[in-house]
Amino acid sequence: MTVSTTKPWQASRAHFRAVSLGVLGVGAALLFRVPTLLVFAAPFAVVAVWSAATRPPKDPTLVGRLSPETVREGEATAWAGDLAHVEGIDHVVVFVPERQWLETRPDSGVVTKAVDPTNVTCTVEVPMRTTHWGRHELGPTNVVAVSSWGAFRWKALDVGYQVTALPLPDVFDAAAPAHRANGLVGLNRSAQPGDGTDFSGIRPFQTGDRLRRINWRRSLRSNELHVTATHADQDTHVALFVDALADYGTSGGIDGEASSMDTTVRAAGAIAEYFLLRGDRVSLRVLDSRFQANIPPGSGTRHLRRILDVLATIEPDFHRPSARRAAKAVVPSGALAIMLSPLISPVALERAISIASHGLSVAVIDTLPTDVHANDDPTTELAWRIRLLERSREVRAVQQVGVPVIAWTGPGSLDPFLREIARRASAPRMTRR
Amino acid sequence: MNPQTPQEWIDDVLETSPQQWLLRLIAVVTPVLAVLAASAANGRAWPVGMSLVAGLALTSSLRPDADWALAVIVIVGWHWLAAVDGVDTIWLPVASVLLLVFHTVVALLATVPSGGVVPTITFARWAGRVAVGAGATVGLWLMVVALDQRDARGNALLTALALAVVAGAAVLIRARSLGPRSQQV
Repeated sequence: MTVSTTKPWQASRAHFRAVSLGVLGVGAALLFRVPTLLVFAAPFAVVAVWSAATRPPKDPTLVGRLSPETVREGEATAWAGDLAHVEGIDHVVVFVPERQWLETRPDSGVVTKAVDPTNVTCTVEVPMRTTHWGRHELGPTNVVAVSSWGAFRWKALDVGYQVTALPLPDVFDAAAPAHRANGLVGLNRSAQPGDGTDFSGIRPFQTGDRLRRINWRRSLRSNELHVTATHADQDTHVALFVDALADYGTSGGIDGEASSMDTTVRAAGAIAEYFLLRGDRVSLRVLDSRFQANIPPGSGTRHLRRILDVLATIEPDFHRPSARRAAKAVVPSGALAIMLSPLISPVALERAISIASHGLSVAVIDTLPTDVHANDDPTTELAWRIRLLERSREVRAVQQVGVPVIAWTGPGSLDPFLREIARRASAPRMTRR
Repeated sequence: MNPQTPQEWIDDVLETSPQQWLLRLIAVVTPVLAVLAASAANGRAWPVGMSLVAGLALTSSLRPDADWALAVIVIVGWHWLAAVDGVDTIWLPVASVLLLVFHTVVALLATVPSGGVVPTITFARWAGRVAVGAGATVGLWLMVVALDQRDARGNALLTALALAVVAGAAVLIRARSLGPRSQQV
């Protein structure tokens, strides 16, 4: 919803100047018989009369819009204002104040447009680009219409716009074999035989086999019906946990440095996109964000959009971290749990251990920037180094109980983890119930 | 659209477009040239006044939506009336047109924030208007010079009629200039 506040046509200082100099100058020149003063005052009198004669007859109407309202990080959107009843208007000036993570074109945020006197409408557009994921308030957008000689101005304030910038997922790919799956549909090869596409072998016909599976060459050679067996196609449930307890490091937007939250959100988007495009199911749980979000498992591009929408709303909740310490992450059995966290707070590691203790495959992706300890203040830098040493000890302890902690490096980040769980899939494990 | 706080002043300077700097330069130079025209007409320089005018012109170019420009024009006009006798000097319409250009440039500066760029077509329109104003000024000056050379005597009736016309024009301009109070839609 947008709100426009308008001010009707009002005389400017320039008009006041022209009228004062013109009327008083000409009057005084006539009254006191000073022809020189008449020559000085005459152009201002002309300007005053001209300005008054060409005053716009009525107020224009403004209809503002922001299109599109949802974009990917780094993509462009534009505020556009349609002005009607522009008779008598010389030019229109639009000014969009500077906002963090919104770059306007031009950089000043000022767009001027000359109004064609033959038209009754005029459209002014201010292109802008989002440089960071999240929801960004736009405005207030100032619109000023100016009459000839700058004598009269009409002003409007257009507010209430919000741009949602979906995180632009990092580039991510995995070369490792897919995780074992419990679902009934999907693109991954199951360990179990079934109705799929991946070749498993040729075996004698059994009751219930489909006729189209009969391997006629083998059947003719052996005088016995044989069928081509396949592995079942199944999907994986990937449960993403995003630790939004705090944001560390400096965020420079899409073109600059990435803070821990930037890396977390973009990596989560990348992993979700990768698995969803493979046909797997992905769920998302945002922990300790100001707005709690829990997206149940789903698949498809619409589900990806839903996940990105939630990721875009993440705001670290600095105020109540301890209140949610006890919140347990519930993950269905057979799911592949991936937790993304800067691991500064031990809460995320505790949660990862809790998930792993239930026999689930869990990996923790470390999203802390490498230069986070760099600080001009030596005391702060020392504090950071001490905390990082403690963190290293905590990470080692977690790794010792079988939870891999992987630094996010983009493509292939999860390969060692996926290979490891594929290898362990058939091995016996002791779980705590 | 004047900057209010020191930070806004700094931002204003940093964001000012080259075109705006050019307009501001014109706004500073034109009244100074008008003072120089007076010096050329009477053969006497006025360095103190020129400095004052330059300073005020600079201020009005930085704060175009204020009354500094009015002060500049009044000072230049007053100086001319005090220092130059006669109307038959060519420097009179030159100074008058320079003040018109100054007024126009300051008015244009007041409509566009410092980072904005005035469209070329708007420039052309405003230049055309200034040309019309300058033409009217030169025409009036020629008429004044012609009447001055004829040494015509004053006519009270014509003067009263002219004053009535000016008063009527002032009333009409005032009526058209004042609008209704602000409203919210």
